[in-house]
Amino acid sequence: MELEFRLPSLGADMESATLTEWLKKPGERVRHGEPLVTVETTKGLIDIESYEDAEVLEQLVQPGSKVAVGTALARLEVQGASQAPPAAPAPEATPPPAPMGPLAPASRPPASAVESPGTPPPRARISPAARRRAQELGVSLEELERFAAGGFVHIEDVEKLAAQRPVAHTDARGAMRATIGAAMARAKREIPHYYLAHAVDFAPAREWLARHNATLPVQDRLIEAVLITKAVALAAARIEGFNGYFLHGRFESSAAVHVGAAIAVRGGGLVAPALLDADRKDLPTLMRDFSALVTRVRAGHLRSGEFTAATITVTSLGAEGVDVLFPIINPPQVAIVGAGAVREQPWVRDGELIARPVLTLALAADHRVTDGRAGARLLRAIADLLAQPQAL
Amino acid sequence: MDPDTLESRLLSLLTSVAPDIEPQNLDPARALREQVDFDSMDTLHFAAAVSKTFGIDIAETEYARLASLRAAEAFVRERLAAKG
Amino acid sequence: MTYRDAVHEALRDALQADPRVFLMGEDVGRYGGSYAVSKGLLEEFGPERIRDTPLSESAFVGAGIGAALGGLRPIVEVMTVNFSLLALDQIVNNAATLSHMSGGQLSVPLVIRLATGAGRQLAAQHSHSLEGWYAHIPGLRICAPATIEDARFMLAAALACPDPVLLFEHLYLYNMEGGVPPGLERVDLEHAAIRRAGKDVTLITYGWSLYKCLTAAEALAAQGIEAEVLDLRTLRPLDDAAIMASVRRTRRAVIVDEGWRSGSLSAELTTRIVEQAFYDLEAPVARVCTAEVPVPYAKHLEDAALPGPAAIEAAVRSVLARDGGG
Repeated sequence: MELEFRLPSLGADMESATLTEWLKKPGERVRHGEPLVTVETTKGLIDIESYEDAEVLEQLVQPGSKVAVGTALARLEVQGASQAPPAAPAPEATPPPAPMGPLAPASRPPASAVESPGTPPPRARISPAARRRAQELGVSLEELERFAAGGFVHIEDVEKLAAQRPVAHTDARGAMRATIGAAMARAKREIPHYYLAHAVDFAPAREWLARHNATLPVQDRLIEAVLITKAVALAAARIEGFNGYFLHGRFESSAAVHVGAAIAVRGGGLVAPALLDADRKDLPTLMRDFSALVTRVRAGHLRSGEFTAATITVTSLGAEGVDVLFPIINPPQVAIVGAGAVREQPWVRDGELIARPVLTLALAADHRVTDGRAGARLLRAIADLLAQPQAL
Repeated sequence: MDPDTLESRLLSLLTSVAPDIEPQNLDPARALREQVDFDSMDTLHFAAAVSKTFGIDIAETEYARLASLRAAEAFVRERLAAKG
Repeated sequence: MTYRDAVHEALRDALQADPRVFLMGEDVGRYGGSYAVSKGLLEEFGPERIRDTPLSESAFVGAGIGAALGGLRPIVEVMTVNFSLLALDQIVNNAATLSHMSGGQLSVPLVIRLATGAGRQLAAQHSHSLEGWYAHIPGLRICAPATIEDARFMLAAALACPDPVLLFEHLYLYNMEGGVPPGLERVDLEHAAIRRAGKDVTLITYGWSLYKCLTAAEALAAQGIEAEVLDLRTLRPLDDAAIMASVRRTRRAVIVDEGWRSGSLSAELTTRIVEQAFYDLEAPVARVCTAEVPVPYAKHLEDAALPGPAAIEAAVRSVLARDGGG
């Protein structure tokens, strides 16, 4: 079966990208999940992976061309039956059509044989005038849909959105700042955040980590962030309402837990690509993934799946020595956990004052989905997991 | 810069684990965390590279000794001397 | 000067200006017109030119058509639009079609004046707004003078028109006081008129509803909402250019029509806006129309059934709301 490989939207604010390099030539095979093409976006260079096992028939766009999201980049010949959809849900993609009703028996007369296709998900109400203005300003409909999040978009919103867009910036750093600004402004505008903080006795984790690392060469050692990430992933898998997306006016829970790891870009900026299936990977595997992810961020070579897949995010400012980090949710996710520095603190145990390494975790969660009680449960679950690091 | 000096070898290790820094602007005496936003993963990557390149063991508690280029140079010198 | 005076003056002018002009209808002569518009004209112009007719709309509208075909310039008064239904055959089958069916050899320069609308507790047989029906018919020109100046000068323009023209005079307006801008001596039958400029929403209306819209616009202005009020003046053919120009400016439209909404002039206006200005809209078009019941007799029920400033304000607020009113 032949299909077109189109430029996916890789973030809440991306509407175009410049193709920089083809990684497969016509006639070559590409496997599912294997990078096919590199594009440059405001977030840097991204390797876009194929969703199919396929053969490249033709490259439709040449390096150096700037193309809009949705543009066909290549024609692929997909081998065999159609593949399962990509493991990582792409929150930015158009939602799948509502499932069709059961097929009517052929014997029924056609007039009554048509089943209702079911209620489609509510569509963002973008006024006709806003649509045309968006076209004039080169704002994509997907961008508006995300901006609207099921609400109404007027012409002034399009103009605001266009003004916020990174395209106006010429330097990459300014573009990233604009990208972060747009995403965070949207989060603050639309998501009713609630915040909870919880101090965790980090001594068990730290001691276990020291013992574990003592026997290993440097490159195989674990870092604290991996333990925290794993604990958050497991807790998010257990407690409903924190892992998934808020799209089209409702929460869509995700079965897979892909933890976005907020990684600072040197000189300013931040990306939060996903550690896929973080709840199911053992610590050494997760560490390798994390390490590779940071390396790719540093080299400016993220993969497309990593960009859009995260279902919950962990962010840490431990290295900077602050106690608590109150994070902002990265839409369309509904929760983010911030980790401060692990520091020696007075700690009362069994009526005695002792010094312990203490980690303060802060949760920001979406009040449209959960309440503080559920959030408290999530934080306690993370704390309990960190108290038993050997079980992670 | 002489490619064989210890400082230049450390610098090239640094740029291999952190290709996004500009080595010519680096002040060897200043902490990497302050200068180029080194985080725990960068530190680990740098420590792993130093350990492997010079064949020296670096305990987790000794990462702090790689805080700046100059500190790292002193540390590596000390370890290589101890190794004989 | 009242609206009634303005129509009276228009009739006098027409009768004086052209000997072919005459007025006929029920009670227009000795009684002076059921809305006292033609009072004194019988004395001034005599029974040849101010003719009382029997109670047969079909007969006297038919006679008017014949007179028009014969070269005269008849003005036929039909007491209310409800009674005009008795003359539908003459109006729709004859007056509207003869020019077409004769290949342009015949024209019917007939003017029919009709009182229309509710608000005077005249109950279901004398209160309806059926001008939208007539606006459906090719071959007719349908006008609705809402202001003193249009009451004063539309008649002359209608008489100059080679095709049949129906002038719908809203019965609530006859007592309205006002003046004609100095120097104004004629009006056209082609263009809609902006009666109040605004940038936030266009209120599209005609007849008595114009004043309800202006009242609503006044109240809205106090809330910081600038409503533009467009008086259609001519209901057929519609001045699409003026309607679209205003809607393109304000991006929102509310249609206020004393007719019912189903299968109506307001439906036609909505459709044209969607056809021609869809991509200029920020919100669905809203309509404020008469409740879909025969107009009630009881005062409070009649008031409740008709479009009023409060309902217009509510409709404007809904199309300006963040959720787009849809």
